[in-house]
Amino acid sequence: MKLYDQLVDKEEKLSLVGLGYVGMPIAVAFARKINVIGFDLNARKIEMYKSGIDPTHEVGNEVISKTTVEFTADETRLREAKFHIVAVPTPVNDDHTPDLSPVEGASTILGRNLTKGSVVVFESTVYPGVTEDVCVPILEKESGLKCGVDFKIGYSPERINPGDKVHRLETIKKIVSGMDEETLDCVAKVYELVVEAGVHRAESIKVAEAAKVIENSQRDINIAFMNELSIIFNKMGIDTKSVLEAAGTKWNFLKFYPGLVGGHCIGVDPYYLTYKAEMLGYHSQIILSGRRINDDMGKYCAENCVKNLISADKAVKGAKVAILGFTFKENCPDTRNTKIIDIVHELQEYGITPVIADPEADAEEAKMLYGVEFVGMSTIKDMDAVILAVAHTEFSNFKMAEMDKFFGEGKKVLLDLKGLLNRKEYEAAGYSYWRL
Amino acid sequence: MESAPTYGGLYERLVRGEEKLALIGLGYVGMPIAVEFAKHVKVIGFNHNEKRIQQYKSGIDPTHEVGDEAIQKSTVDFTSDEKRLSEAKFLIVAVPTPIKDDKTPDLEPVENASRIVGRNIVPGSIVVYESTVYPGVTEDVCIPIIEKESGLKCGVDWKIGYSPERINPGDKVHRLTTIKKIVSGMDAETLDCVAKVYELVVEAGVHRASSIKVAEAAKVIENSQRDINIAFMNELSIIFNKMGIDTKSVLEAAGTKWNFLKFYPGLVGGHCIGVDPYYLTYKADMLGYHSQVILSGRRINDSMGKYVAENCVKNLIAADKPVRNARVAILGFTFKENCPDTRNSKVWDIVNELKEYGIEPVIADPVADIEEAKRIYGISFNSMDEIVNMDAVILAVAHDEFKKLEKTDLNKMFSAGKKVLLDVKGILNPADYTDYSFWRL
Repeated sequence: MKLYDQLVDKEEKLSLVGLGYVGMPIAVAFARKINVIGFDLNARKIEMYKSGIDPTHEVGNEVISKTTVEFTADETRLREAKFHIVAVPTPVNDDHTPDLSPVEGASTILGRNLTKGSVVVFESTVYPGVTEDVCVPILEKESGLKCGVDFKIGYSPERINPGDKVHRLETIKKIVSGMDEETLDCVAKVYELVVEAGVHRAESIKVAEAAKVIENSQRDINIAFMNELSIIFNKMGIDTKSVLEAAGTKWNFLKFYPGLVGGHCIGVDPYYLTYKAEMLGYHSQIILSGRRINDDMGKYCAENCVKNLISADKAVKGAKVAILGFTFKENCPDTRNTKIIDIVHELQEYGITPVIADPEADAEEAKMLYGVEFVGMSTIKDMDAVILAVAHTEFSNFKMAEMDKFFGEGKKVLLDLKGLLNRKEYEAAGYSYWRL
Repeated sequence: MESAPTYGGLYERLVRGEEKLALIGLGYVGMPIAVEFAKHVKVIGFNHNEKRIQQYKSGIDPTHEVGDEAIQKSTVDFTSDEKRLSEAKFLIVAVPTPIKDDKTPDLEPVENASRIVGRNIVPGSIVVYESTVYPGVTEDVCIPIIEKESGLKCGVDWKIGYSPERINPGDKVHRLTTIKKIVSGMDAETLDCVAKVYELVVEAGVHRASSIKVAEAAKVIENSQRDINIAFMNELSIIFNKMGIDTKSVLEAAGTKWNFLKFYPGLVGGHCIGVDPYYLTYKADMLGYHSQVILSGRRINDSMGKYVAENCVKNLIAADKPVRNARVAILGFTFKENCPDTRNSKVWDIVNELKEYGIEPVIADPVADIEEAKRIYGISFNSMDEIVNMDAVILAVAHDEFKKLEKTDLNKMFSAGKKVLLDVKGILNPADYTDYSFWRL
């Protein structure tokens, strides 16, 4: 318990390793109570923070300029801290296996700078066992210290919902765990400093790791179910949205919707769990079947674009198709892990090179990651088909008169992937309207 | 000259008592509907099971859904004479839609009911189905049967609608009157009449679906969603079991997130959750789409009985007990806690799998319908006090009576040596059983 008191009395410091959309709000929240060192490998990011700019948009420029977090890209400054929180990403490789290199890299850096009496807490989403079986050996090797004797370890998964102003670090109950009673108690008390909603003390590190990795898997499965329903009802000629509206009048029906599942969590976390299960000899059925369906939805949308072009008597090869929206989520500039690139690639296989417009997206990032160049909204005209792919506020307010201008002669093929528009209105106006 | 029947005034005529409403099928779905409507309009309650009609007439409710008193006071005109259906103009069909052994829809009850309706329908009637079906059954299966039997044309001589039942057997909070009801009809006139008629009894109001197929689809996915979510929990349980992690602790921790959905692993039996998904996948398959998520959920849930039995065997082995002829007791056999119904019980799968390992389990269930279990499965139950000298005990159903079991009660059930206890529903506190070989999903 000494460490907690020393932190509160500002005799010891807390450090954040990794200052992305997870680590940044944590660092800023703790800095209101205790001394915080904020470390990130990316010196350019550190410079931005120092000059009061928050590229994550999670806390805002004003908060960053006022915070007392000591930002640094110098790893040796971690030696000044005794309570370390590691908040680095856990992506997947191209083959959908866990890419632990950020966690391993962070463990290596921290190990090199770890001092006796420290507590290290990981926040990253991992499969059960990573903290103890992967991170601890690295920390021990790099530091020459013994875990359980010279330093202690804990795990407390992040539950940050990017862009959500209601469910924030302070208002979401936080799971905490530790290698022993003493560590658990310290970790719990430290987080209670900033989490007003309180903490849940998990009985072990593995239980806490497991709890985190299933949260997004549950969402993934439920969206996959909706996507499968959408495929089935499409074959039956039934409008899925109407069905979900009707089913939603039952008290216990869960309101999920079909769609593309991109991003860095929902489409990624399930693979961490199934990877470890596979190592233990269990081949996931439902989780992976959900992943397969969700991963196929880009292709499915493209195929339906082609089918609609054909039934509208338009030539497929060289058809003029516009995709509106490219980010993985509405009203957000992030294009990483977007599934809309799957639509683009599938259309290309049918001889269609779509034009893409997204006034919200980070154009530089899209160019760097995908080699995609956006066009201005005003250049979209004479189209055979338009795919409304992201529910940006700007797109939700579309009037039919604006939509009309995008199209050329003949039947207007419109794919409203997010169900933003009124089906009846567009069908009445002669559109070939399709939605998931 | 014969004029086309009108439906616009049907609702008013029902309310004024000039026309009657009829229920075809008086099970746990039809019975509450009949009783509720009888408070507002004239109701004929038809069931072809003469014995059951006699029970109702003598004031006994074997479904326990409305209770003996309500039955006695009800003005429902019970009959097993199908000809009496010709007295009614608003016909509600509430018959079961089970599956066959090969998991394909068994539409026989719906088809039979349609034939009965067809033989007795009079012009100007509206027929509404309540049964869970795949989209298209009402229009593509039922209409042709009624037309053929009656010689009357649907849409001209009579109309059709669909309004799925949402009754939750045993649930006293979510009842017919308090659950919003989906209604649909073949045209605007029918929809309007069906909606108004149901509004007489459903205080929570109705949702007017845009078509009969949309209403059918909405119903069939409700239980599928539950099935999938339980399957996910079962898969997690299998994975965490391999990792040596207690699933219940994980779910407790995850449950502290605001949007985590609280489902639990377990056996999925009964007549709805384990059945409805097959209706949907059957039709999808006919259209060339082979379900992935829904069927993989079904497979997992259907294999959980086997999985529990296997873990019983593994625990016996780890406890150094011979497997063949091991003495194993199963406590609970019904498909749901505190309910006598043993139909579609998945505990039966545990029994069968144990037999393949050379184990003949004894079964005790003080709540179950003994006669039914004997008839369907050919099994006889043991009384609780006969459960002694066991090598393993499988606590399979969360009856209130079992929840009260103390450790001293359980101790008495076992023989010498390690006590193997499988707490399938997680009703015990594992911390109290550290000296046992304790396993749960």
